[in-house]
Amino acid sequence: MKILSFVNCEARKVYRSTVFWVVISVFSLLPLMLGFLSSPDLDWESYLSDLLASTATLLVVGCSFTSAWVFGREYTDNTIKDLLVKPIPKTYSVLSKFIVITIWNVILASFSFMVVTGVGVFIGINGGSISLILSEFLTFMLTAIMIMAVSTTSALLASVTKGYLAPIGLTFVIVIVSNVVTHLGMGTYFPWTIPVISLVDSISLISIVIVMMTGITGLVGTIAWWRFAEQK
Amino acid sequence: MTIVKKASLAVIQMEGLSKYFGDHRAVNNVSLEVKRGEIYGFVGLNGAGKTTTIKLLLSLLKPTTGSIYMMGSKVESGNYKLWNKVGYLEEATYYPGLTVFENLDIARRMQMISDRQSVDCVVEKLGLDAYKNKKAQNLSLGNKQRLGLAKAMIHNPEILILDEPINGLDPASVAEIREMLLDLSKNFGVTIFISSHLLEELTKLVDRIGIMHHGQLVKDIKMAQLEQSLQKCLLLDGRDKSAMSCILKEQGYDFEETMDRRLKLMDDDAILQPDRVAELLVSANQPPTHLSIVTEDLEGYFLRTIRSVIREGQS
Repeated sequence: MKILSFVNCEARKVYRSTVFWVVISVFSLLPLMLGFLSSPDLDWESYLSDLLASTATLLVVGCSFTSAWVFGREYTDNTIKDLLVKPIPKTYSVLSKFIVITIWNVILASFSFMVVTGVGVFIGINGGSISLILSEFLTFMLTAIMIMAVSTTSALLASVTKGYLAPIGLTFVIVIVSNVVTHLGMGTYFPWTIPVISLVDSISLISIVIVMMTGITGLVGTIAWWRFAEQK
Repeated sequence: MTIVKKASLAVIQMEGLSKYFGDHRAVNNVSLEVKRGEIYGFVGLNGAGKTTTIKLLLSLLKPTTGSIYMMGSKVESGNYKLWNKVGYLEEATYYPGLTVFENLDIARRMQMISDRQSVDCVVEKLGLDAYKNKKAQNLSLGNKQRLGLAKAMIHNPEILILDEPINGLDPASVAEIREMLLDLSKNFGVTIFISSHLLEELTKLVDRIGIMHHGQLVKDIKMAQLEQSLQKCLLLDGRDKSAMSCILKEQGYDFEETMDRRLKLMDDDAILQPDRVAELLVSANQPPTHLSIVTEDLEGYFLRTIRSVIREGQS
């Protein structure tokens, strides 16, 4: 039960910050704009397929940002020592942060899906059904979970570089590299493009393993860094 | 595995502590002991190794050689239960979007204190009642510092490690914090390890002082001993200082001119018998307009110690 108390602390740090609401606003505005720019002649399947692919790309940036910010702000606000010099295992601190990041990301993914669907209803997209939308929602959430997994590397980078600027910068590099590798047909081997590809195509076991390994590296690496690295 | 030493009077023990960053020896073979209830002042110039020592003390850094024990328990990164008994303040850190109460409630949870009243207790103790529901980012510098102290003290620690705790506080708050720290030390047996550049303030607070220079502990002295080591001098002022200088020189007095153009006599004779100096000047028709015996303060002692270490190093 101890960890729930730490999760409560981490959650409070997030939802009482301006950043939380700014990110939520971005994740409502951009899908809203994309939705209204879509043609109302599309059917629900094509509409969701187009918009969710763009939203998933936005989610790559968003999830990396949330991970980087939750870990990096402790260094930027200089509160890191408040967490390290405490009578609790450092693993608890890291895990409670990851739990809150996951909740935040699930909210972002669900919220952006709702906005996309809401705009679809508003502009009068035809040919949909509840089962189709639910099936698209499940596929999108699976994609979101994969994105969340690879985003753990941002937490590691934020811890190593003692701030959120480096991982945020790297996220933009990743977006550019993702475009290049996708054009080269190597997207199924690049951790950050695999989730988006999984939305429109089936992916191989190797791709799933790549995503899992990246996620484990981020998670274990961050725990190890907090547990063993010197805090100069 | 946590290494536990046999019971000792020393609550903080550093043994041959060194920390190297490449070729740079940030802390070099420091050994010291702080007893229960003692207030230990830790001073030094910037870059002397104070912060590195404190980081070693908090196990944020691993020593290159040597070890640290607190209450008999070895300080190392896995020994996190130790922080139940230790409070720490480096600078006022807080979550800006949260209120004072929320910041303290987070500190309470992180210290695994189940009693919610502990937040109200520490709020009252530090005089933060009026700011309880104010966002931490909107507090004055002094109140931010109080919040930092409140976080360090919320679990009633046995050891307090404070790095510049009174920076930014107004004189009334400084006096208040000083009284509180003295009360904790004398009446509750709390051991306080305090680093500060405000040497004058430290003299009112500490029982013992350690001077760091170039990573080494060059002096570790009790305040009572230090008071005996402080130099005295006779300060003189007059209308014609060049004439006064000639008279004093003729009589063989050793003196120098201070920054505010007074004459500073260091001879024991002059300090023990200032009336003779006055008589001498009056008889030569150069009566002093000011005459006083001044005792060196901690700042003077500190600078003198550092200068002598530098001189020893050069020779």
